[in-house]
Amino acid sequence: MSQRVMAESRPLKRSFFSRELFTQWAILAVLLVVWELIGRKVGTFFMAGPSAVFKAAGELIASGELQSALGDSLLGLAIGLTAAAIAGITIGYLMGWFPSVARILNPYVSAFYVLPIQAMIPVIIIWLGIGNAPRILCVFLFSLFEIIINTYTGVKNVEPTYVEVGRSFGANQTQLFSKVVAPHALPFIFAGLRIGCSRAVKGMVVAELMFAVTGLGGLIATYSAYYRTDCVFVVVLLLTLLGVVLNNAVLSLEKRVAPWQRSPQGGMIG
Amino acid sequence: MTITPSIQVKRLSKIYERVNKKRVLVTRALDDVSFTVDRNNFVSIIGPSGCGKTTLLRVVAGLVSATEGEVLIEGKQVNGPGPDRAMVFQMIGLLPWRTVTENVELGLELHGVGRAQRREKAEAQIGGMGLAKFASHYPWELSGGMQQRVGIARALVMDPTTLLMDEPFGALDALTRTKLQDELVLIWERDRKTVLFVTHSVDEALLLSDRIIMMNREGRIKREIEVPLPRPRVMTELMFDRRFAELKRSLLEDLRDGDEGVVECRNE
Repeated sequence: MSQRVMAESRPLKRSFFSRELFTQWAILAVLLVVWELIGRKVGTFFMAGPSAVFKAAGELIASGELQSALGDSLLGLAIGLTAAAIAGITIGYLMGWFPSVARILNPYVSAFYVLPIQAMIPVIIIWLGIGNAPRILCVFLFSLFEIIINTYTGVKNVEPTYVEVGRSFGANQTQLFSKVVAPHALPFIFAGLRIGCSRAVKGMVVAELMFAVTGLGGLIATYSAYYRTDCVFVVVLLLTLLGVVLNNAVLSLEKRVAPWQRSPQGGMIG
Repeated sequence: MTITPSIQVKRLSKIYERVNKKRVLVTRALDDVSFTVDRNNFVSIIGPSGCGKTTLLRVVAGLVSATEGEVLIEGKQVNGPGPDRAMVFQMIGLLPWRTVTENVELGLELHGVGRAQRREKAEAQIGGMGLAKFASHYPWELSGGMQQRVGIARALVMDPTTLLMDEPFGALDALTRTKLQDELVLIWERDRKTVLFVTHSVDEALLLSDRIIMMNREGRIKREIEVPLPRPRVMTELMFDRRFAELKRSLLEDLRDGDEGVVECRNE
């Protein structure tokens, strides 16, 4: 018995030369080579290769452009995402715990969930201009409903046996919520936060592309107007990195807050 | 003066109503069920699946209310769950976000027992069940048998007068099941609890019980028997005992009698 447990908690062995890891890196190498070859053939005007992108990154960092755009974007992202997390988790819990709240809000949540929020951005700009406020609102709206729906699902689908156990051992309604329902929903909430984060980055970029002035999206808009695909790719890669970092940050927070789950076996960036 | 029985079930009926496609479906799960269980007795309830035996246990636990009739525990009417009764579930139902110790502490925590005191009690109970090594493990790290030991520890730590067990070994393999049955008998003899035990296994009921209550598909008590087999009982010896074989045959015949559902019951 104890041996079985030991075997389960043993860390997954992954040497550098393992076949999976080798294949993973090989794919990356092939992609880079193909990208570079195409880049050299068609020229920076249409598509810059990795070496040109690398050079452009150096220039953008040296001029400080990239840092200030990143700062602008991150501020909006942080505020919008935090607000969405607080509002989304609260609304999700309320909907899951009080069936009447769910019945009232469900049509609105569903409608907003399927609404392409991109379509609202021009109006948001009319209302709020092109400062930080519309960016925050976009990030908020893009991620909010994913978080609401996941939290709601986690609360609503609480295992009936657990509720029964709680009740039979004397839990009142408040305790049933705090000791059974709330922790049960945590993994669902983190799933919602992960999807919410990636949607938040999308919302941020889409908004900035439309303002075409500030932030990382603004850089893309500006440099694509000059056909500087090397600079555009720098920003695109940075956005990808940002998404990955955010995702991993949520994952490691989840491991600390909800440590009871079997750890998923991650890939190269997992 | 007569001693008040530990459990008194008086004229209990339970009707479930369910709306399906604008029609109200009425299911009678319990129909005029009455019996008593003396203090420190071990009583099993057997019957085909869907005969209301789990409903009966849930009413005694205070998890569902009866449509008619009442349940008294130590002379007091049941109006909801209480610390005088602790339940062990077929689905075990350990909370996956709690370690073994935290799971065992659950009932004490819900009743406002302080951290130090409940930890002490839980650890003593865990040690007594031979689980000390696993105190800080999460449920998924344990085998089914270990998990149900934790489930039993979680109930015993409340020091209830009455243990309610709903097919607690139904989901375990035969070997683990036998082991846990033996452990349960030892615990019952040591701690002197009143046990109400739901099972669909005639063997298990005969091995463990002082008395067996058989229910039929209509949710009524069909038969009640005392189990005269001397204790301690061991399954490997009971198997060759003539009285055991006769009781088993008679019970199985009664279960089968006028009830084609018995095949389904045994494959449950």
